[in-house]
Amino acid sequence: MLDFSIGSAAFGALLLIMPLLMNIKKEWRQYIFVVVNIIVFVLTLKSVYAGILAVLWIVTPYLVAPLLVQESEHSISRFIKPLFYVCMLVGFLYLMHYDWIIIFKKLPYFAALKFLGLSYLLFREVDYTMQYEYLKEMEVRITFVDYLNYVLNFYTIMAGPIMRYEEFVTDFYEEKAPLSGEDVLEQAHRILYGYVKVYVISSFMSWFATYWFGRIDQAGNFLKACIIYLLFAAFNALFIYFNFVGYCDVVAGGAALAGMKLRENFNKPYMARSMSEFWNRHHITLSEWIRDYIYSPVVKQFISGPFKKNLFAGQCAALFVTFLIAGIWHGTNLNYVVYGILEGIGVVIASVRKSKLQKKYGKKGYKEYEKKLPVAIFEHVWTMLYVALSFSFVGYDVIGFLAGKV
Amino acid sequence: MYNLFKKAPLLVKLLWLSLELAIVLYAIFVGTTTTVLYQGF
Repeated sequence: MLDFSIGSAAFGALLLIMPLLMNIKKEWRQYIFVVVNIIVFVLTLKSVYAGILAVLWIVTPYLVAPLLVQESEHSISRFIKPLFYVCMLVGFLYLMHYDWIIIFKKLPYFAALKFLGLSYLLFREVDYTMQYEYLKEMEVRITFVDYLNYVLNFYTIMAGPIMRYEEFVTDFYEEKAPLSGEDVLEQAHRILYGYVKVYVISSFMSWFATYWFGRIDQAGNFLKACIIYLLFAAFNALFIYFNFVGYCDVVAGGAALAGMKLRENFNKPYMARSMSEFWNRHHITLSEWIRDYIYSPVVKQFISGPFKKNLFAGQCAALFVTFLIAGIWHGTNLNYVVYGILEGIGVVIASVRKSKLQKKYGKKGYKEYEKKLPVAIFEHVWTMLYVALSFSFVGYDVIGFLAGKV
Repeated sequence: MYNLFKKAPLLVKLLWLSLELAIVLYAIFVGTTTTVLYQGF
């Protein structure tokens, strides 16, 4: 099985080779790219069974998408849509092997069935099937080769950014001026600086986080333990940031050299002044995906059902549910459930606070209030603290640690 | 950092990239055991 992390020789070689391969002949680009994507994907498979399952997982949405559009014409097809998404969700939960879902513990689990990029494949497949009708209407190019390139794109299969089918295809076939020498150097710098962020800066942050996490036990008193926990949480948050932003720089730079533009996934998240703003700046493509495919349908259900009389409460409840699901997606143990709950609470608090302040000062007055320096400092500090504390459940078994103390 | 690189003369850019490459290769092959988050999801 091929190691295809960004630090692997295989990934490094592809970063160098792809710009050359993609420029052999313009008409061949999509075929060259699909061959490379399939080879990479096949080489990372753990077993033949994983290959069979992966073919089903990838091809089924392509075949099913046209049937999902016809739901109003056929009575049976009305059930296809929910059935399809439920099957995908159950398959995903089983393959990810969530250790707190009791029913999966009773079923035999075959780790060899899991394949590369399961989460991100799901995101793209949901986008493709949900947008299929719109894509047809807009006459966006849809072929099996383009679909495969979209879902299997080796630059983004591991961890995003989560492109949308329309923007991927539009960008792929867009006429672009050839890269100048300056452009090549800039992208090379982006790639190498991305690697520095991942393997040097985030590595240091990880070391410090682990160091402080191991010292919480020896704090002696509660106050000292809290300070050490904060230090651990701060370094862990920085580790997550540099690790992920570095990865995104590497893949974005690599794709740019091969003539593809990836979406930017970060916009100075630590400048955010609320949790809502933080999620508009951090892992932006995930935030937009969950907004479109989780928040929107959930809020629609909530405000037309249980929250009919209180729309704002419905919006807050939908926000909480959305971030809880996003948190659970991040990992398979209970720490990620707590992480999701904390993110949900954080975003709801930010929305309620904004709404109350706008009611109190009016929209214009609220803007003036936001300009005050003490307010800005308070909001920054609160947001950073909250992010660090909620992110401390990512990557470390904090629940296990706390359970050992009780 | 990106703006600084953009404005630098060509020779400085090449030196800069060489230094980054050396650091990265050292970090990957010798210096670090960092796991890359999210990957393999």
